[in-house]
Amino acid sequence: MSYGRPNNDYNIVVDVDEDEPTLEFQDFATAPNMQQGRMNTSGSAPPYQPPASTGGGGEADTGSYSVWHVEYWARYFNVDSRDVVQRVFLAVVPKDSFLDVYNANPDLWGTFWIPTSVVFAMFVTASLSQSIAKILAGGKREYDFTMLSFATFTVYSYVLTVGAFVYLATKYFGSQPGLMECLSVYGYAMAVWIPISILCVLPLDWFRWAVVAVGFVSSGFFIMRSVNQIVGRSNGKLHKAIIPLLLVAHALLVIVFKFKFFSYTVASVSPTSPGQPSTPAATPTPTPTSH
Amino acid sequence: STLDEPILTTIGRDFGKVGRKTIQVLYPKGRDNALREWDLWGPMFFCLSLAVIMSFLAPGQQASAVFTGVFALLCIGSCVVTLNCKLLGGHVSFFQSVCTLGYCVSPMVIASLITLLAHRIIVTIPVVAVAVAWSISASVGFLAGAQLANRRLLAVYPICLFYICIGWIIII
Repeated sequence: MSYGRPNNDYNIVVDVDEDEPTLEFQDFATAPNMQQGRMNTSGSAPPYQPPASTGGGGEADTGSYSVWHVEYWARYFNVDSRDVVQRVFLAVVPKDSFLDVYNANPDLWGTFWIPTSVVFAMFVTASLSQSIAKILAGGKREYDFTMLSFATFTVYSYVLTVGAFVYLATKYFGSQPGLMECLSVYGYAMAVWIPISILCVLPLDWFRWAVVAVGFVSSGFFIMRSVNQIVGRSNGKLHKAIIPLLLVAHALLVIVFKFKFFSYTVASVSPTSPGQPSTPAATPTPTPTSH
Repeated sequence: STLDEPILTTIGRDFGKVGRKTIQVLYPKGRDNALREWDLWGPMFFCLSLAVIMSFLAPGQQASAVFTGVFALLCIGSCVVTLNCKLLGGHVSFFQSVCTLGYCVSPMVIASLITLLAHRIIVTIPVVAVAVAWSISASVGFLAGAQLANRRLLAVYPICLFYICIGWIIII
């Protein structure tokens, strides 16, 4: 079935087909950069407005700036304190949809500063628990500065690579993700690890495992739900397969966190082996080899 | 012109400026006139001295790692915090803000000196806490002129994070 529309400004020839998205000519004569101006007159795909993409010039209302100007990126920092707090809340307690709130006003503040805070929080709490364990074992108090660089590397690379992977994968399979929203899902998902790392200072191993499990469930559920929402924007079923992959990656991250940062018991810091992450030892007694 | 005067006068004038700015940060009375003209000598000096002191305090063979880490943290941290303020729409000039953040590190330098001299943790923690509060209030006072309406928290939080991070490394 096809029909032509006799219009003075343009001619659209539309093929309506049940299974394929409609093909139509986009009108580029008027308002070329209006993101809302996509004439999606099809009946098969839900009319989704993709979020503001990073590639096109920032012609909204700040004039045309290129990527190398601060003003270009200032668009993404257009949030107030209240908004950020609300978004962090939505990320930690996944009740409502994060992406709906986020896409109305994408921001990069949370995406950058929350992983940074997580890095710092984990470094502080891990060195604190290491020092406590060392003091209880009777050794000299010292700290491991390389932990900070390791934390930085891990958290940032996780957020960046897995976020970019989600963006590329969903883009390849036809959903319409925004790079900002993929990165922000992962950035905000890290927020739950700040209170968890504070709680993990307590040298009770089962407690640490329980708290880490809660964190894994919370952040994992949040990521899954958001990715599901992105994936659901197209009609294919094939790329739901990336969701188990993401789950595995997240589990790996959690395990690395646990063993590198949350594992300092007294048994692990005898003077013969300084700073080694422990295998989960249940009893906080000094090792017999130290004396 | 300044080319004709003896070298000591030139150097003395620069040192005088640095000293005046430092005192402006350490004892903020009146308006922040001294900080209007930015220079990077002061921040560089404080950055280096803090990194050197921290490497003295570092355990064993990690001294150079600590020096590198602290120096990098200070440089990159100041830039990132300044960028954050600018991106949030604040009306600050980039170098002026970097300069201010660098000068506000001076209480931390004093605190780390005290830590170096007195290795007792019972002394270290309150001293560093006071120094962190001092630095934060000094730089927030400078930020008051940057006109950030509802986003004060978003701009102040990274500054707090920055100084608390440095303070923690000193405590530890």
